[in-house]
Amino acid sequence: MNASDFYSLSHQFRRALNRDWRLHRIELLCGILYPVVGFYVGHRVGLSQVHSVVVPFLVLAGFMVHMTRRACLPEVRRSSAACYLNLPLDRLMALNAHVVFLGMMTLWLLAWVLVGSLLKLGGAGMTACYRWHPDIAMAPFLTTVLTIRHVYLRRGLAFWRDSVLWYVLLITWLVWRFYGGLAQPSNAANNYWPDRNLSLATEWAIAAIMAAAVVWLVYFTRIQWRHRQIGGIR
Amino acid sequence: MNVIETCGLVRYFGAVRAVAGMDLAVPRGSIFGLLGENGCGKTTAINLMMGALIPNEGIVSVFEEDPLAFSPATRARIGYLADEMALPSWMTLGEAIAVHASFFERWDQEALQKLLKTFDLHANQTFGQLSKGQKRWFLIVLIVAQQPELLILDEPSGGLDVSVRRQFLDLLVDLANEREMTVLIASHILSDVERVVDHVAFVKDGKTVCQSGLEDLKTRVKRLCLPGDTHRHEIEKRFNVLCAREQSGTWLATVSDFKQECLSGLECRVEHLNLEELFLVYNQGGAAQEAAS
Repeated sequence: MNASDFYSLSHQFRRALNRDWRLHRIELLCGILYPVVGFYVGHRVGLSQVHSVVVPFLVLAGFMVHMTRRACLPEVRRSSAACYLNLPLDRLMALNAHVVFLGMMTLWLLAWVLVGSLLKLGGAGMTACYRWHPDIAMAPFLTTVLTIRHVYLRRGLAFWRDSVLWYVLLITWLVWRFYGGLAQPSNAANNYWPDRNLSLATEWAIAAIMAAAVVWLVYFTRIQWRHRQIGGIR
Repeated sequence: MNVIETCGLVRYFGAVRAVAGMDLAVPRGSIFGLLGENGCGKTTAINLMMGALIPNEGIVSVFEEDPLAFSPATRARIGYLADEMALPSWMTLGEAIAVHASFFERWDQEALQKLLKTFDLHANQTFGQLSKGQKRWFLIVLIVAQQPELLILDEPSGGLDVSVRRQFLDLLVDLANEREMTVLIASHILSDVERVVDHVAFVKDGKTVCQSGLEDLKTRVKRLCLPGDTHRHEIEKRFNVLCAREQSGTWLATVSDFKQECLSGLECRVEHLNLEELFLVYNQGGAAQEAAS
């Protein structure tokens, strides 16, 4: 293999993904605990036969914030011997690899929420119907991307203004989504978490907006990271 | 030919000017000491050389390339070790080697095995099990196995005790000579660096105040000790006096262009300066005299 092949983008990408896997595979396995444990947190005795699965997703969203910081911060701070400055790795490629790796990790953990749902379903003797909310299932992706953005572009007034806006939006959504149910605990209609009982169509619409926001955030984070270096913009 | 060149390099962090017009030329094959006090801009300059920062003004080139546009192939020619660099503590050395080896086309596994043996490091040890000195050694081993042409070390012996520091730097020089590497060492521990570098640049407040071959600098810069200041004007006429002071009836003048033949007719004692004294002369002026006395 000659030098241009060896350092081609596809080879770099494969190597960067392999690096992330080797550096974080323990968290990848330990992380399974979080969504599973999420099934046993915030459990409420409900009246409905439809059980909304909410808490595991929220726990997962929180875990992904932690995981993203662990994966990206050492590289941005250059405190890791395996950061892009020490390796023949394009800086944008290093970010791409993190995005893909963390995206795959989120999918992997979501699969465990599915396993958890199935186990609980079996445990309930097939009497209860478990329901995922598409918008809440998108939350881990959104927090992952927001954290990536925060870690990579955390300096500069424009970033902070932008960042505050995103966090305000996220928190507003969470408060709006759950406030109705929390304010009326006697109206607990499911085993896991009270919510506004939105229609599935509305939830899908919100999920689509969130997915678009995730794509938009990844796209602009890449552009901004390409054009800036730590500490300032040319 | 110079491996690294900077010209009028300036870098601000907000209102703070961390690098304020730094000019450097690191010759190929040299062991170059970038010396200055903490916070004088050494690390920022290295970050500019590595392409981790964009200069506000000036030019920096490494291997005649702009660091911001380094290709992976060029980056593979540079070994970089920062002060606080580490690996996850649970990671085995074998695994760290596998990760790094996959990235480098010219990875020298044979040299790596030899160096691991030299340092009594084993592939099944975890990074967390190593002492601080062993950690630095292991990271250096990883870098040497990359077969870099340029080694950039930012405070490489920081936090190590004296004997380990000495061993570490000796080994580094051996490796550099053996493999014909150019080495840039940024440090504030001058006593360590003096034994290994052949070129130095003193940095003060983000600026290069002196850059020279070490031997040349030691030959040129001397302290003249005269009984009283009767010949003061004569000395000032014949030499470029960097700093001077009177102490216990002796006039001490540090000159930057010493030549033995220029001393004819003058009764004075010539003192040689070590790197620390040279550094103080250029960085603090009068303080050098005090340190020397």
